[in-house]
Amino acid sequence: MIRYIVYFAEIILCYLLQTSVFSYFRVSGVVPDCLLILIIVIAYTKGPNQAIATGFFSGLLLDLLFSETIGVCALIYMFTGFLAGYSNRVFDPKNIWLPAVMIFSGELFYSVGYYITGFFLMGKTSFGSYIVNTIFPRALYTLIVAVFLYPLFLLINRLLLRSEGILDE
Amino acid sequence: MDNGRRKRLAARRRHNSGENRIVLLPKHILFILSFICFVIMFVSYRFPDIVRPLKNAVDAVVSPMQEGINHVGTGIAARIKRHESYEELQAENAELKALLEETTSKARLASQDKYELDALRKLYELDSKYPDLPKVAARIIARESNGWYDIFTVDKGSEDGIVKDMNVIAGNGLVGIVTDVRKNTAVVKSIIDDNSNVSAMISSSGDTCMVSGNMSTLRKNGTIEISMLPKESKTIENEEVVTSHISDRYLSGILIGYIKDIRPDSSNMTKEAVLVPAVDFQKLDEVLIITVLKEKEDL
Repeated sequence: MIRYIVYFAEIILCYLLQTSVFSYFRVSGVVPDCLLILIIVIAYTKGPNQAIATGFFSGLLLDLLFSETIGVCALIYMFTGFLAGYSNRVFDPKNIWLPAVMIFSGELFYSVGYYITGFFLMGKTSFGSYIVNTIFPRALYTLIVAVFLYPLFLLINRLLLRSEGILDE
Repeated sequence: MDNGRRKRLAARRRHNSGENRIVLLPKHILFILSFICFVIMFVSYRFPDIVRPLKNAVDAVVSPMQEGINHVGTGIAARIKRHESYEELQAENAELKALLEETTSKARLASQDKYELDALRKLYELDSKYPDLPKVAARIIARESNGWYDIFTVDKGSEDGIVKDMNVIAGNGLVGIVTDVRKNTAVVKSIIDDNSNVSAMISSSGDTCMVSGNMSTLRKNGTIEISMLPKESKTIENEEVVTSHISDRYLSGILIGYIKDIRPDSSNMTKEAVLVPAVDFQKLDEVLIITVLKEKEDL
């Protein structure tokens, strides 16, 4: 139960970071995708089920507050969480490269998914310039922010495990 | 106490053995939630009014937090800017004073309340260009900018008399249009958003054209697109582009920006060009919402 309340708080925290805090620190017009970092961390530490749920709710939050059509972000985040969730089988808290690669590629996956859905909804930015000007800067920025957020979320997860009486070795 | 210990032991046993659980595979959950997503997408697209109470509820919880962060964020951003300009100053001593003044005034701007903002607005002559239109000042509290959509939330909503399709300006130029209204906040889609199309005209000649947002060219060259300009138009560079009177959502005569790079388009039927927006979208903090709607009968 506590775990879900904490997840909820983490989603809100990431949402606020992403839309309010980092909009003051934009680099080449992009903000880092903090919600994605959270989804990847949960996927990595707890597996696909919880990552799917986190993806669903954080996407829903973004959709509810920003878009007219609700569910697009939720869908993409959910699939990201689902795919990343399989990395849980090789979870090792000391391995920092796997989550780093996953956050980077997860962001690419999310942006491409967004491009595809947007394409059907009418967009005109060419894919090439979208990759160069948006996807890569955003993925890189997300990765840099993840350096700080990842240890925090890992720590929260450890504390949660301890409070639940399950300590991973 | 004994009970809690037993529970913990049971949890550990379950965790170790993995048995005694309802087996719901990730793909099943994914399938169910995807289905729910598609249903929500359809419902919110077809019947936007059904999801409105939900949007209002979420907004009521989140927007006070955003406003708080916004307050702190503006302060920090202003401080960082001041620091940067100080470093530049060491190279360009003369410019420094002006820059510092600007940043401190920004910091001041951030911390002042609405009444002071109104006074500053007059100071910046935001009001001077369209004085006859009633306006409400609003502050941007959140921004979703994933390089394709450029949508932001402002701290005024239906309780302040905002309704959908109201035009939003800042400084002397058009910023965007209200696309969604909640109780205390409103969502604005800016004209640089890739999905934004504004029917416009050249202010000197009255030649009509279409201004379309394009985030990637905006980031690269600071411009967005103009199309459908008549072939015989004698428009020259840097002429003012304003909203057209044939637009059904934008009030006519609002400055959008300045035309550049006029050339025939690929079909050779019309001309295309680029537009330098009058508003600096990178530094947008406050906007003015024009509280009158374009009368549809005027068409």
